[in-house]
Order: sequence, then C-alpha cells, then structure tokens
Amino acid sequence: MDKKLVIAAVDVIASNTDILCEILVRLPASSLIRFSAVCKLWYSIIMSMPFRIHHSRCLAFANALPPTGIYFYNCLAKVQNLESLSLTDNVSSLPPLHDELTTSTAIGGDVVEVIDFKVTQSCNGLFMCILTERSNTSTSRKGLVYNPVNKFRYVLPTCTVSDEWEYYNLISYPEPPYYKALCATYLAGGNLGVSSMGLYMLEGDSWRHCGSMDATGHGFDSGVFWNGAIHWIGVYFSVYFVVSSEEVGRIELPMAPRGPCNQKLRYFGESGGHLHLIRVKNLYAKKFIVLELDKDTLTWSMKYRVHLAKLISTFPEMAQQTPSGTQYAYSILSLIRGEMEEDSVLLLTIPGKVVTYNLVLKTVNVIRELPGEVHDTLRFDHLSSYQYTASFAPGEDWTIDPK
Amino acid sequence: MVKLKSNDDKEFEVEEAAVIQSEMIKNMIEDGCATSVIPLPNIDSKTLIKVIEYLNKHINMGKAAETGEEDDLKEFDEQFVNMGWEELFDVIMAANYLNIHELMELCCQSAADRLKNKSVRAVREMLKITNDLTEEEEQEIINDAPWAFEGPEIDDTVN
Repeated sequence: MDKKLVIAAVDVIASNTDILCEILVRLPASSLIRFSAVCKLWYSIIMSMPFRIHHSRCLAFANALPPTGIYFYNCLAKVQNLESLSLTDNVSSLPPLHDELTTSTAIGGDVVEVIDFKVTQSCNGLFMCILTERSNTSTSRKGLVYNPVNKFRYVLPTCTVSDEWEYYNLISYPEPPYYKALCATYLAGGNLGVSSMGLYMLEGDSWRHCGSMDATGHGFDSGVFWNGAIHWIGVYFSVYFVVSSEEVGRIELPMAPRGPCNQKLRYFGESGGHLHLIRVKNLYAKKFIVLELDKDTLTWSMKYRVHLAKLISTFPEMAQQTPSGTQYAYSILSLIRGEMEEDSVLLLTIPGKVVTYNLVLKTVNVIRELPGEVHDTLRFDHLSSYQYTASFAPGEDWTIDPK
Repeated sequence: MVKLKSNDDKEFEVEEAAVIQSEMIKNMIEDGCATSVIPLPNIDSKTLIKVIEYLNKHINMGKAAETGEEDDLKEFDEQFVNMGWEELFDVIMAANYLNIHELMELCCQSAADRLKNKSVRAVREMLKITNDLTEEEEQEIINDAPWAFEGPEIDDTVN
C-alpha cells in the first residue's frame, strides 16, 4: 500500500541536492569521478568547488581510512614505471601517474623535458614527487605536489639555502589547501662528523625556516607523516618534527634484533593512523615482529608476530640453498591496516608473485604475478610502495589562479 | 512521554529522553510547542516505527561506552540499515526532517557503501535516474578519466 509513497522518496532523494550531497560526500573520489556520468545534476554537484572542498575536508578528518590502493615501483620492469596495485576486488581502480608527469612542456621556445620523476611520499590523495627536468640550457631538480584525480600540480619553489640535496615532505592538513610542504636540507658549516638539518615550511611561494635538528645517521629521503608530525627513521632513534608546535624531538628505538646483517630496517610506514616499524636480524629472516608506536607515550611496542613458515611451505621456491645455509627470498612492500583488525595485511614480494599475508589470520593471497629472477625479489624495499586514497585535494579552484 | 503522529494518523508514545535526539523535536519541546501530540506530516507509520526503534536503542549511548555495550550498538546499527533502498531513503528523509544527526550519518554512509563500486548504469537503475547527458557529454567525461570506468571491482548488478 505504501508503494507510491516509497517510490516518491527515491525520486525526492535522487533530485534533492542537499541530501544527495550528504550521500555523495561519503564516496571515494574514484567512485565520484565515475558517477559524474550519471546525469547532469550529479555532474554539476560533483564538479562544483563547494562539493570538492567539503569532500576534501571530510577525507582530511577521516584519517583512519584504509587505502584505496597501492602504487609501487616495479624495479623488475625494463622501464621503472610506477604501477598501481589493487589489493582486493573491492579496491577501486587507480588513476595513471607516469604519463601525466613525464610530458614535456615548451616554455617560450625552450623545450623542458622531464628526464626523471620519482614519487617520494603519498598523503591525502596527493603525491610528493621529485622531477628532474632538462632544458636546452640546464638540468634542474624540482619538488612537485600532484593529484592524479583532478590533475592538480604545484611545482614547489626552490629552497636555496645551500647547495645540498633537498628533501620534500607532504603534511596532511585539515584546512584548505589540505596539505603543507616541508623541506629538509643539510646545513653547511656543521662540525666534523655532525651534520645539521634545516627545516623549512612552505608559506605562500616561499620557504620559512622553522627549525633544525641533528641529522646524523638518518635517512631524510623517507619521511613519514603520522599523528601530526613528520618522522624520519635512524639506526638508534627516530627524529620528528611536529607541524603545529614546530617542535623537534627524538624517539629511542628498542634494541634491534641481533644478527650478522647491518641493514636491519625492512619497513617504516604509516597505515590507517598507525606507525609501524619492522627490523630483522638478517635479510632472510623468516620470523620477525612488527612494532607500533604508541601515540601517547611515544614508545614502540610489539603489535604483530610474523612467522612465514606457512607461506614458505605454500611457496617452496622462497627457500634458497646457499653456502651459508637456507635463505628465504621475500621483501616487504607495505603494511596495510584494515578497517577491521583481521583485515590487516603485509604486502610481500616473493619469487614471481606479490602476495598479501594476513597478520591476524595468517592466511596468504596471491595479488598478482611478478615475472623476474628469484634474486630480484629482494630488490624491493619499503621505499618502493605508496599507499593511496583518492581525493579531490586541494579542493580549491587552483585552475583560475595557480599561484 | 511525547506523542508523535505519523501522516497516516497513527500515534506513538516515545520517552522524552529518546525523542530529543531529534534536534527538531528538542527545539519544539524547549519552545513549549509540543503540548499534546506532535504531527509529522512527512513521515508514514512504517518509517516512524523504524526511527523510534533507532531512538530507543540509542537513548543510552553515552552509557554504552562505559558498560562495554559499544559492540552491541554497532551490531544494532549494522542490522538496522539492512533494508531495501526505498525503505532506507524513507528513513534518510525522516532523519533529515527530524534532524537526527547520527541516524542521518548512519543511513547516508550505508547508501554510499552500496553505491561505491556500482557502474553508472547500475546507479541510474537503482535510483531511477533518467540520464539527461548527451552521448557526447557522457563520452567526454569517460575520456577525461578512463581509469575510473574500468576495473574488476565495478559492479553492474542492481540490488
């Protein structure tokens, strides 16, 4: 008897902009791009700046979303392209990155060719990339903020404090433009053996000095944004820069597992609001633990215990006999925390495959084939992959005035 | 107790503590406009029963966290939105009209989750939307971001 009324409600919502917005704003950006082809009303809502700003804001506050996918450097391919990886059938397709960024541009007769680009960080749907450009007269290295969904691109101004390498980091920020950029560069004039890092925050079109820190023994090419701060991992401790207070600090690391291998760090990354660290006693360890940093006490503690025995028995090609004993060929691409605890997985490369290893259920799923030599499996590291959530950030209408 | 009347003339008694989760009714009560029966001309009895069920369950939400009933509430919410599109939209309309923030959030999220992986065709059919874009316009949108229209996750079924 209610049939008539009921259909009316569907009709009302499908054409009621306010309520429709309430539903659409909860969809991932990749679905919205698709749904802009539903009808004129949907197109005009999804394309409108107020909607995109609203969407970016909701996403910026929901910082515990599982990623929509992974981009990773397939170092086994002839040309090292950034490939996208769907984790399950439920993960949306990802926009292409490579072609968009390597197109040459002509500026006043001077052809600028992009000879190299490398993603260094992914945050809020935005990528931080390093572009190496060659023109008729010179070669330059630039930081670029890029969103493949709306093709937003912002070339960072050069931070000319020294001749040293500059490291750029992305910071997720809950207000427009939903990101900030931080530049870290070595300062000249440090004492022998002690290097000092200058930190600069992007403000408008220039960099403002906002702090400095002792940089000895830290890899500044792998800054991770977590809990309002950028963290850089070292051997005995990590250093961090808190965005709101501009305070710098350091966190002691627990003793690394004893073993013959010098390079113990296998993974340092953020997922779903959690910061993880994996160190191993040697490159081929089949047992290791995953540490997680506590938000309040800033201390590391064990989160998962990983034993790859079952994985190795399923894929015996992982076991390699060498003069120094049995070794296990795998590398850690990423750790992804799911919405549910039991959805949390490690993304691993093993000979010929990319697999997920469920950290709770200990189950294994093959994600895709990965042709290459057995030894190549070990060539991936934690800087090879980037978790990604599509967004419309920065949300503002940058096309009118890109500055 | 507060009396609510649906548009098909059925009356329901609800505890005041439960009903004031609706901003609209809360304001009415505060302004002294809710004397005997509050008529709700936009809501039928079937939908109102659902809304009241939600209000009653969520009345002690503050206490739930203390007594470890959070999981219970989560389970209730999951069960609650397990309804057809038409019913869901009725509840969204009612939640919007009554201004019940949490219920609106819950139902809109459920609607979004159902749509997330659907194809354009499936969305049109599920929501009975007539496509008023020309073929050229539609093709242009697809050409601009072909990646968003392909992929194993896209679901063309209507349910």
